[in-house]
Amino acid sequence: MAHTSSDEHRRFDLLNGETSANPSISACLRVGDHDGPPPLPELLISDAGRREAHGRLVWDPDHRRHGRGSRFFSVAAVRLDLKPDGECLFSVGTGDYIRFATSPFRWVEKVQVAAAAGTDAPGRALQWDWLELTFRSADGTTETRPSSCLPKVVTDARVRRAAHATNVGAPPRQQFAEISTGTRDVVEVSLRGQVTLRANDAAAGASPLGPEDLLGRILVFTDAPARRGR
Amino acid sequence: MKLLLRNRQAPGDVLMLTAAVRDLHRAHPGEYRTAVDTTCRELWENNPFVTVPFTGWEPDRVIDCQYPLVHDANRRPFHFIHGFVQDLERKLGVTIPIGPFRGDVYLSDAERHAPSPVAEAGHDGAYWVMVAGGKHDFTAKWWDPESYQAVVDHFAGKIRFVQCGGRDDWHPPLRGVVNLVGKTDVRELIRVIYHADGVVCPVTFAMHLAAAVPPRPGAPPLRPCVVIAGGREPAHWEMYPGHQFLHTVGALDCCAAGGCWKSRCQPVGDGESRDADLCVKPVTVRGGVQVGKCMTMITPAKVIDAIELYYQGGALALPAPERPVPAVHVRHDAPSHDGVAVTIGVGRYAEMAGLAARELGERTGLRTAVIGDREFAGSGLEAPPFLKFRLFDLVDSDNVLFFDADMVCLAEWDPRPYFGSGAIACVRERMVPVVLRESPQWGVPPEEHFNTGLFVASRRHHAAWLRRAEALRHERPTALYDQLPLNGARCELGIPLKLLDRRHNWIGFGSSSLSHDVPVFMAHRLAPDRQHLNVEYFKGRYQLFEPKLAPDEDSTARLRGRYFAIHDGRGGRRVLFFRDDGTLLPPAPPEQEGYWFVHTVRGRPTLALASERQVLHQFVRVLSGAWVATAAGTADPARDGPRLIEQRELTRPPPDNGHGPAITEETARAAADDFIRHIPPYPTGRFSGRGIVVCGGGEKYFPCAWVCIRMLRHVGCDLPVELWHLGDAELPRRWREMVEPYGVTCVDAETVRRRHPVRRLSGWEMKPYALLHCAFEEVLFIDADNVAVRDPAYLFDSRPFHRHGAVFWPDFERLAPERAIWRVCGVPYRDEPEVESGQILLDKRRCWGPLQLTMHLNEHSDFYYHYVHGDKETFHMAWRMLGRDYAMVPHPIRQLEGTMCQHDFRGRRLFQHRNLAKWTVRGENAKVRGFRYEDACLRFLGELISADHLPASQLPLPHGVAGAVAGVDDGSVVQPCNAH
Repeated sequence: MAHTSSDEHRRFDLLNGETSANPSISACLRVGDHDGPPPLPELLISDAGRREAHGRLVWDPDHRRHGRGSRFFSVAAVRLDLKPDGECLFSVGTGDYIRFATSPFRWVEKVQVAAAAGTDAPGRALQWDWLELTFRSADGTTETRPSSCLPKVVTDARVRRAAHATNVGAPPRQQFAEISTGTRDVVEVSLRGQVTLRANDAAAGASPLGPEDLLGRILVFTDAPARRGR
Repeated sequence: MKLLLRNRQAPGDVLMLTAAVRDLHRAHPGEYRTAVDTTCRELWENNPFVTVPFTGWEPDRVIDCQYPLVHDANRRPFHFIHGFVQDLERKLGVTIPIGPFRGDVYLSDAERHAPSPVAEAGHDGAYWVMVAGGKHDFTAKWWDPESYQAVVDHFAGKIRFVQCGGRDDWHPPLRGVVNLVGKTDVRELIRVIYHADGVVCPVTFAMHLAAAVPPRPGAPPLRPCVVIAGGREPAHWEMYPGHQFLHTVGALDCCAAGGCWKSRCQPVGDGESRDADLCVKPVTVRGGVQVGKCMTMITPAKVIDAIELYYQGGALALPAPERPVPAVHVRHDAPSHDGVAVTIGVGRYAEMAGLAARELGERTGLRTAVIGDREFAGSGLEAPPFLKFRLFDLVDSDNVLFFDADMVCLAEWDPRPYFGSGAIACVRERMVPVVLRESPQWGVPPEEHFNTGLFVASRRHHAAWLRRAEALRHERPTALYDQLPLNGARCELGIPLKLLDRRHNWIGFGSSSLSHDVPVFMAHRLAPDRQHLNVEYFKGRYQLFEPKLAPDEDSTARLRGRYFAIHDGRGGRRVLFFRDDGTLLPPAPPEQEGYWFVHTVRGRPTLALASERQVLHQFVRVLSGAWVATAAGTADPARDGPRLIEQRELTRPPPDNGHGPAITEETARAAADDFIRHIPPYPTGRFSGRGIVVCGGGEKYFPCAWVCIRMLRHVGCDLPVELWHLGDAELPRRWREMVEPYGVTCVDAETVRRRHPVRRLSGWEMKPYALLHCAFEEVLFIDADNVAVRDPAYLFDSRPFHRHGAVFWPDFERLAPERAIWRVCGVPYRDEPEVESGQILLDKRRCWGPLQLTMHLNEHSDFYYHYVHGDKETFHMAWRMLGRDYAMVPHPIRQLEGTMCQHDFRGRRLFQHRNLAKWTVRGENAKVRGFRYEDACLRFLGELISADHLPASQLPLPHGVAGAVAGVDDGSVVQPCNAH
């Protein structure tokens, strides 16, 4: 049946749970760990062929100075550019781009931007404050759309469940925005956003912050065939 | 004698030939055996005077029938019916007395007893035929389609119209009619007319049929017919007995000596000579269509009056209102507050519907029911959503909460308060393109278009609505299945709405973070096009986070029904009305401010303006009373961001203010009619002379009024001026003493009100009140923020004023036909400019009635201002409600920054209305490029500041005023009074 909500070809959905499998490009930001072992970089970008590149940054110098149990707070700009020849640029904060080459593709099908928590420990929050995507079509036209879906995850947030729900699972640890291009004409995508990460705020109590307690993910799905493993 | 009569003309011509054949045979019985060879042979079916020629039948004489008498039609007293008769008389050499005054059409018994094609199309009951178009190459007979529509709209719910016409002709589809255009052959059209109560048409085949088709048993012997004829043909040539023939012959110079007989208002390009002989007074109407001026002079009101004549005289009677059909299994002992929540679950939707019903039952405490495959299979309907039309046939309850199967009840709420109400409780639809595009076609104001995924209806009030919606569905296709028929039927039947805020039916849930953050009661899918998520949710495999927004219901309740001006910080200003359901008027596209709500942020009420998907602005209230934008939750009054300023003069009064009953959409026209009946006669002797009225008190408007009055004197105007204000506080003594030396009489409206009570009198209401009660008989009203650039006294001597007694000036826009105000006021739509009421010229003696009615509309501003912007269209509507004409200056506004320049009838600038750039003594007076006498105005403003003894140390001198206050010549040059 026709529905008045089906008016736009670019679709923005806000969903809880698991993102789709086999993205063509996966860009990830996380709390990270400078001191290892092994040291886990804060930024990581990989493709379906499991090639990857990484980058480092200091999220919160106070947190770094005072240790994992201290308050953690950071706000950073996020940039991701993906071109049809497979060139991918990823940057967080004031750090320079990480350059990455993946398989060429013909069109972008969708982008998922996720806020995830790798722990149930209370007081972890990651919020995408702002997201804007620019789609370039094969004919050279561009379209910039702010996202009405701004994923966030708060580890001790309460959830809504159906009154008669049975087999209730654990609360979701991830929320993501799915932006579907809706056509096969998008050959290039640029994402600009801002992300806030918080942990160990005084009110929530403190606990050591793990390197993957807070994760931000950008997954891009293109028409390039997914390759599994190396 | 065996005759073969031939004619290859139009059906209407052939129909007139039937009369000649009848009269020939009646005058000379047995002398002729007549066969015919004509177009439109169906007209001869069942005709007893016509012989069907068999093989070998040879006529003794073949006659090509003509009616040359038409060439004398303008000067000789003959009807078309004489045309063929005289031709036959001449060619046969016999005398043929004219018989019955109509063509000769016969129906077979089968045709008489068969249901009308209208009933066969599923529409029972009485109807009129409407032919709202004509041949493409005969445009001189066209009438404005919007005028036809206005007639249909006027009789909505009373008279059903069936639109008929040829498939290949021009018949723009009308709204709210049964559309049979292109669906009837000649014999079917004859049957349609046989069963019709009447016919509305131009001079066309249907007009001749209306007279020729015999009346059905019990019907008036002369079938009612209203003919919109204009000035093309002389009335005596075309008019039948019993017809209301609306013509203009003799009224225009182009038909001063009779019908013009032009065929076209624009060239068709078919090579016909008629392309070179066009209507000399074509008028372009909506859609670029050109019609003759003579046709536009026949207004919808005249057609409506002509139709009503048949009812007023008793020839016809309006049908009784439709009664709801008793539902199957009605439980008579059911208390009216009882109700059932119902959804439709057919096929693959069955599981989801069952789960949704169980969830809703748990959260609302209502019994639930699912209409499923069995009911759908037995319904004969094409699609499950149409089962909504049969709710009261299928459900054993007097009250129903209907909800779509793809809705999820996320939180507890109680629908019971809406049970048994005459209003349909529902949620307004989003202002998406398909809604904006299709609503007007169904006569539905977009701001009243509701989403039919959820509604509360009662059998007693709404069973007929559902039946009417089902009938409408057959009449025209729509991409929105049941939604437009349900909305269209509601509007057609005038059923009120109880709009709930969108938490009760969040369409597009899951497409924004806002939808997750707001505590929504009913989500319309958990994500667009992902119905499976609903099932996952019901089964516990999908969860949502708790909403984070905390609605402040008390603060929300306080702001309902109020007006705010939003200042965007860049000089722009718009007035928004906060509707009870959390939507804003005027309605906005999905990406703009369309909703409002108050929530608590860090313990503080925070007013949010939101689009469909996100909060766009947030405001907190500061000590001045203004709402200032917040940034990151912190109010920063110094920040140059958006502000909301309440328009208190527009705020609805509390219901218990003792100022009399509020009216509703249902009672508005009746209340106005009652008021009209009791308008007192003009109080001769109470008013006299000419003068000017200005309303302007208080710190905001007095400086404007001061400049206005000083400029009037500056340009040489010596007319007396009344300055109206509300109470002493608005015009303290020092201000009165300042203006009175300029020939100004200050009038306290509160004092006048004691003698002439009025229900509401605050802001805009004061304008008609001052006009009504000022001392002048001929009065020019000028808004305080308006500046005359020449002495306007000559307007009183202008011809348009003498002719009409009322002069209005045009606004930028025209009221769209879908605006509810037309319906509310019972005024047929007119394509004409809105009134910009910054200046009004009236002769009260001649305009006493419409001015009184304007006051009535304004003293019910708590109702009417929802439909129009302030007072301006109340003048327009009042004049039209009473069928009164007015003069409107034909020159459009010239727009300057924040200023509207209005002109006199010669196109010379006369007024500069600084509606968005008001003079101020406490802020900056922006320079307006092109504004005449600006330096003089600023100098007057400076004089006010100096003379008013305002402590300069506390008063930031307005920009541009400093020089004047300090006595410095700023170089401005005052133009001569009559400069252009």
